[in-house]
Amino acid sequence: MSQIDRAASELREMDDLAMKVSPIHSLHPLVKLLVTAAYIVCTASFPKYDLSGLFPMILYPALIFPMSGIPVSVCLRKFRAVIPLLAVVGCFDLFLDRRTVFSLGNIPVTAGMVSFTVFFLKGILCLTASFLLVATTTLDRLCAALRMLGLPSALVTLFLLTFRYVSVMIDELYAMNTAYLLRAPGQKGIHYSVWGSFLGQLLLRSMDRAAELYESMQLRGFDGDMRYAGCSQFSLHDIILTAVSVGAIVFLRLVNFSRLLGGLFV
Amino acid sequence: MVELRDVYCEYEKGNPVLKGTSLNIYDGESIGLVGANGAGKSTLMKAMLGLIPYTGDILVDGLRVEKSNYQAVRKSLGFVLQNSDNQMFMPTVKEDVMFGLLNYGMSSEEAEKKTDQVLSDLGISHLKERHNHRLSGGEKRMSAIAAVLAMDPSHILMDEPCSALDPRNRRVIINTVLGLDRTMIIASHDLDMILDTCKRTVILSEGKVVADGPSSVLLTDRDLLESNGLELPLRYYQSGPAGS
Ligand SMILES: Nc1ncnc2c1ncn2[C@@H]1O[C@H](COP(=O)(O)OP(=O)(O)O)[C@@H](O)[C@H]1O
Ligand SMILES: [Mg+2]
Repeated sequence: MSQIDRAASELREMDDLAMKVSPIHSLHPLVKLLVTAAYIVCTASFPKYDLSGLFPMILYPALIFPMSGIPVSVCLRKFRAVIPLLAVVGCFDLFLDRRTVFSLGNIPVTAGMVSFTVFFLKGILCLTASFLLVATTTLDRLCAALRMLGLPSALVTLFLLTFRYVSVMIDELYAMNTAYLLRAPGQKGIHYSVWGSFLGQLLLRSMDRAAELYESMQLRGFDGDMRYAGCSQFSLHDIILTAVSVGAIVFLRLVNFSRLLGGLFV
Repeated sequence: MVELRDVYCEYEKGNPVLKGTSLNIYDGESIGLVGANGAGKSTLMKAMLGLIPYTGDILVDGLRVEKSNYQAVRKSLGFVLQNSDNQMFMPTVKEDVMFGLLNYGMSSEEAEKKTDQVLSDLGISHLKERHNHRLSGGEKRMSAIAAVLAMDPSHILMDEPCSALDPRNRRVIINTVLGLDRTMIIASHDLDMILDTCKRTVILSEGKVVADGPSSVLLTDRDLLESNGLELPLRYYQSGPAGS
């Protein structure tokens, strides 16, 4: 598969995941948005060396993955580009902070190692939580939730249409790339001498299509304000669910579970 | 009823595409708009919908097509685009059909009910939850028609409804068109299709109406067709291509 194929299919893969049916998928999008936000804030706010406190936060993805039927492997695949980045950013601590805090057998564990692990874990957990939100909620429902939170309509519509038009552009890019490669066998990618005209054409074609799409929206009464279907009122049931979930997350944040459990056995 | 009087349209200054087109389309008619590529069929439709500026008069049910009337005009004229890919912009068929309904103020429940009904009328209920980008050409065209029908327009404009479809899907579209009880305006150079679906034909050439009459008469007139860059419908071709 070429890069472009892959970009297109990744975009669609997320769409497909979001369309699955599961108890998590059918939750009100605002519940998921609020709980995810609470989770990210709580996770990110753990102190630099609090590995034992952070550990129980793994419970959240450990619950949501099986409940939503989203394969962990897809999530890992999406993160393959980010993981090295996290590692590189975090690894400075390894060298800068070399105080030994405890030993595992003969191996001294430095403060740097602990803070690196905490940083890395925080990063992965926050990314996973966002991934789970997007993978279980269609873009429209997400936008509806954002509107309910009072974000300006223009902003949310812009966000939504950007995603739609990105796929238009990828479609065109894909078609042009195929046409090019068919007539340039044996070439790896597109020769730099035609980048200019290639990009120009891509832009023109995408703009034409975008203009026609926009016309078609206008013809069906679009006036700059998206109406989102399938998003019911935020019911009492949803409020309770949000409160309980956020409460549980805050509880995990404030109470050091690992230490409590450890304390039982000492 | 749609009235066009002396309509001029241009994309580039000094190079008009429609050069004084006049035409009346009466309620309940099916009319075929034929002409070679570039004759101005699509442009004429876009002008009727207020998508491009024009001079002259276009009246839809007595309302002039201009900014203040766009909403009403577009409610009575449904437009099926030539390229369904550019018509369907929501992720699934259901959402796409519901899009227009929600914009016109229906509640989600009403809109979904209407969607179910239109899809089942067209015999494509099974496409409801499907992703638009995974539909075949024929399925896409049918979904696009559903999205337009759901709005209950009194007129339906179709631009090349059978282009890029295989014979079976083409037949499905023709049967669908025949089953629609509205004023139909179909732009096409597929004259066989026009012959099947439209009683009246209007031939457009270089932005002007050059002939207007019963399809059975115009579409069997080889000289008329050929002088306007068209060919006899295939079914009249028994005697072989022109000249033999
Ligand atoms: N967006 C545009 N900009 C400039 N010229 C255009 C545009 N669209 C169409 N035209 C020109 O207008 C003429 C009529 O086009 P069109 O109405 O699409 O013809 P048809 O649908 O009958 O094939 C063509 O000569 C075409 O080149
Ligand atoms: Mg055309």
